[in-house]
Amino acid sequence: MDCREVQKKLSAFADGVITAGERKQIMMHLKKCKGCKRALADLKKTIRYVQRLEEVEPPAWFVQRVMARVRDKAEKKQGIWQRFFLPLHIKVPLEAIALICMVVGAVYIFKSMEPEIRLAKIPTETRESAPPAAAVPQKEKPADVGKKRHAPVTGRERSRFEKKYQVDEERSVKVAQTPTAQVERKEAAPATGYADYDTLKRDVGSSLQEEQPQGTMALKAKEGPLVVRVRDLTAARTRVEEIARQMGGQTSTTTPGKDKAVITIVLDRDKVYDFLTQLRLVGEVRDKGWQGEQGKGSVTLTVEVKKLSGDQSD
Amino acid sequence: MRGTKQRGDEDLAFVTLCQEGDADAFEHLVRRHQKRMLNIAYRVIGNYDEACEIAQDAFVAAYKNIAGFQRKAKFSTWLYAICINLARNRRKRLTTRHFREGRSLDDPIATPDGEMAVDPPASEPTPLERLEARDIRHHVQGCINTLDVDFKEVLVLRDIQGFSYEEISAMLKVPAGTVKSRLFRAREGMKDCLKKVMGEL
Repeated sequence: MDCREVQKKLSAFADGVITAGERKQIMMHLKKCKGCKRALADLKKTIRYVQRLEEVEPPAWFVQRVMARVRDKAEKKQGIWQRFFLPLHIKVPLEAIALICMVVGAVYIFKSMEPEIRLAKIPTETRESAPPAAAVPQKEKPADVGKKRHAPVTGRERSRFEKKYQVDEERSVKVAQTPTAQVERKEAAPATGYADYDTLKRDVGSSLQEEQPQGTMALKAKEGPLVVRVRDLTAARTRVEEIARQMGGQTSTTTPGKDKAVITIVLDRDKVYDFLTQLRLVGEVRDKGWQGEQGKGSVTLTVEVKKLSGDQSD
Repeated sequence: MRGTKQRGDEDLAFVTLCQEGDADAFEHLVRRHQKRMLNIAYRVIGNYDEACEIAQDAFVAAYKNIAGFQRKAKFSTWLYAICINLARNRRKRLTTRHFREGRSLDDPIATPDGEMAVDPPASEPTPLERLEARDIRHHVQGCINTLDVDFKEVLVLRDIQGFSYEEISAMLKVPAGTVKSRLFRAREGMKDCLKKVMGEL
């Protein structure tokens, strides 16, 4: 190794990043070469000067200023993104609670409004059940066939309709459609157009809070007794009677077998839905249908309470 | 060699938080690395105010790009590389300006506290003992300033910041052999410069 080669490697030599062989060669060279030895000494001095440079301290405001810029940037970045992806930045605990509150609130509101909706639907039964009863005297009008509800109705009759419902509800008696009403309606029908019916539909809809012709009362067309399957026949029977009485109904019970009780209940029509709801709490209701006279203020329900077979419980 | 502690592991927790959008976590990283960042920038650029600007920019750039930080290297290595790059760009701009203005060997050398006249090998060399430590430092910084940016960087990272050859290689994205040869030339340049300005080492 000549001096040039050695001096080229002195820097790495000083740092100790050199192979053992090279190191040995350089050491050997340095022993006899004063020039290279001096070069190494100068190099080491130079390195020491550089190393001895004092460190400067960052200014006191440094972190603050950096963070102000960083936050500014972060906000700008989020501003754009969050506008689009707001729901993805959910603060889970907070928003989950809010969501649960909303759901619970909605369910509560729905529950508390439900009876009103149901009540509003009851009169539909009367109106809908009426036409079949009065179908006979109808003149065969092509437009009327199959869509009795769509028969055009005059404004005069509309008010009559509404009045009739009020009476219905107040007295809870058998009214339905009187023949007079039928005749009048049929007479009025040809004179007016379908547009009139639409108006009626709207008006009645808003005034009575119902629009749906087929109300939730899907029971009306069904026949046969309501079958309730229970474990404890006696308790269930008592309970059913109790429910009926609480709703102002009259009950009479027969027990044709030891596993069966038949309860006949006369109940206000607008209580039927509630009654069925309560009944479902008593046992497994198979609503094959129910017996009752359509279009009446009160209905007769036959409830068959049956003991669940194969069950040994008392 | 100044202490190079393995800080990567401590940083990573904060880095993860930053990547999740937690700006506060970044403050820890700034506090932890501000001094080193500033010193790297300061020694490369040779001016305190400029260095503060560069270090700030580097931190902001790091935050902006933190999502792209893959854990291949240590966070500090990645961070200092940003700083080095910004300093280099700044330096380039300054150098270009100097070139346009034209330079002479007798032009004063920029130092942190202003400018320092080039002191050619004097006929009567001043003994080192009589130079105050502060003056020596000024000479040293002045000499660093005269180095080419490639050499300056390795000198600052190795002899001032005490990084290993591997770390420097990672920061500058050059092979370790290149670091070695650049360092040799940087030190030679320093030696010559110091001899020139101080007369004798």
